[in-house]
Amino acid sequence: MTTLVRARTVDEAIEALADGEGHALAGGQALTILMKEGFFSAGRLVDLSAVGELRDLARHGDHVDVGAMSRHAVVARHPALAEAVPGLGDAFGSIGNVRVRAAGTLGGNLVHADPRQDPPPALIVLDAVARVRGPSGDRTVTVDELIDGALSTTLEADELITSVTIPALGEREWFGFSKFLAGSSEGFATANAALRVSWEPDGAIERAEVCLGAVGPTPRRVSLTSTFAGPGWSGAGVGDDIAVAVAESVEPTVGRPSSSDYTRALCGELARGLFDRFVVSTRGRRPT
Amino acid sequence: MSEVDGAVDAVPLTFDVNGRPVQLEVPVTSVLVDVLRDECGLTGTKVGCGVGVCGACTVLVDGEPASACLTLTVQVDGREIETIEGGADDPDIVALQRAFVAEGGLQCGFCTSGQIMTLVALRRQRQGEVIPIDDVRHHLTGSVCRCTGYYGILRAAVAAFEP
Repeated sequence: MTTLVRARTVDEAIEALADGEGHALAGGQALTILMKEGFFSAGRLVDLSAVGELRDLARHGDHVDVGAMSRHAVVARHPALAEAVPGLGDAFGSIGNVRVRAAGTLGGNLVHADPRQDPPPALIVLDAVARVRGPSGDRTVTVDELIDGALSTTLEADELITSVTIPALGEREWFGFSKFLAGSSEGFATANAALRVSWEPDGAIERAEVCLGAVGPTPRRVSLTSTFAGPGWSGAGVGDDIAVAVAESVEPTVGRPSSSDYTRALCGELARGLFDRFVVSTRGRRPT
Repeated sequence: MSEVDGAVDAVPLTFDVNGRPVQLEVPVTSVLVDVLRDECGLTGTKVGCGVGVCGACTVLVDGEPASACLTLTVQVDGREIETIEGGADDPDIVALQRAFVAEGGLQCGFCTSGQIMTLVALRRQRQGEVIPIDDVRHHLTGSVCRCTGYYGILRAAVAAFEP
């Protein structure tokens, strides 16, 4: 018989998870589907919805702390995030559908770690860090290191993600997110991509990285810094170089909705599209 | 399984459905759509896929659209639920119902309550605004219809939202 604990604080939740028989209840969507489909039966559900600390969302200097129970719909349009990382909202604003976005949470998304999800590639390319609490105290882990396989994380059974720290973009940085949807009502991408670029005062590219999602068991980081090498990076042909570099770096998993060749080409085009967006939208901010 | 302070297996709840209070005790695994249909007798909310994808079971919980098939009843303690049956008291529901009929927004009607409740949420969120059709489309992603081909639904939304 499943029991319920309504935690009022993070520590109460940790206590209720300590014996390994409990399972955190966040938005309840992925969890409830798995329960209904018989994939697991929870001995004890630990409801986090009353833990106010987990809903905090605020900018603190050079970063934004987003509580693990922040709903996608809130994250998608929160002014603190829109200001600190313009474009990040796009990685939350078309998750699933309106119902998924109303109930789904950041923490729930990360611990579920479905390879097709939108937030992980965006958070990874931004070097976001998850704060985790367990019986022995607090630790931090990058979102990159948190997700270690399809539906798999490095979180222990008695640990909770409490918040995610997202660094604000620097003055000479740009971020963009793109998602290709084939019209599935589930709203999962055929492929998605997040691009981050930083440039020097003279306009030379300092660092460029794209992270692809929905194509492998975990998000795939691809460095593009060398593709942009040299002052001539904004010339014709760079878009092609980027598309080819990304297409060649992607190793699509078998059994996805699109073929390997299509997936590689799609990832290349998503990266190219983001590069074009970067060029156009930062034109006034870079020396030409 | 070890005992934990405060763990209960039968949960007493109080919540509102269409403005009327409901008091129940449910098992933890009880799902809202079953309570609405079987305990409350409100069968206007339908179960389509049962996994939150199709939107047929959409109700409003504190004004937000929710998949009633995936909402554990314990998650709505203290909340206000609105279903299609709330139409008697809600001019937004009535306006949409009329528009759906006038514009061919339904054939079998199975997805219709979900479509309408989803659109009520949109209307309220953007009260007084002229809502672009692409925003309506985006909002209705996840409300599947097998009959109409969607154009009647979009026409109905536009007609109902006309200021």
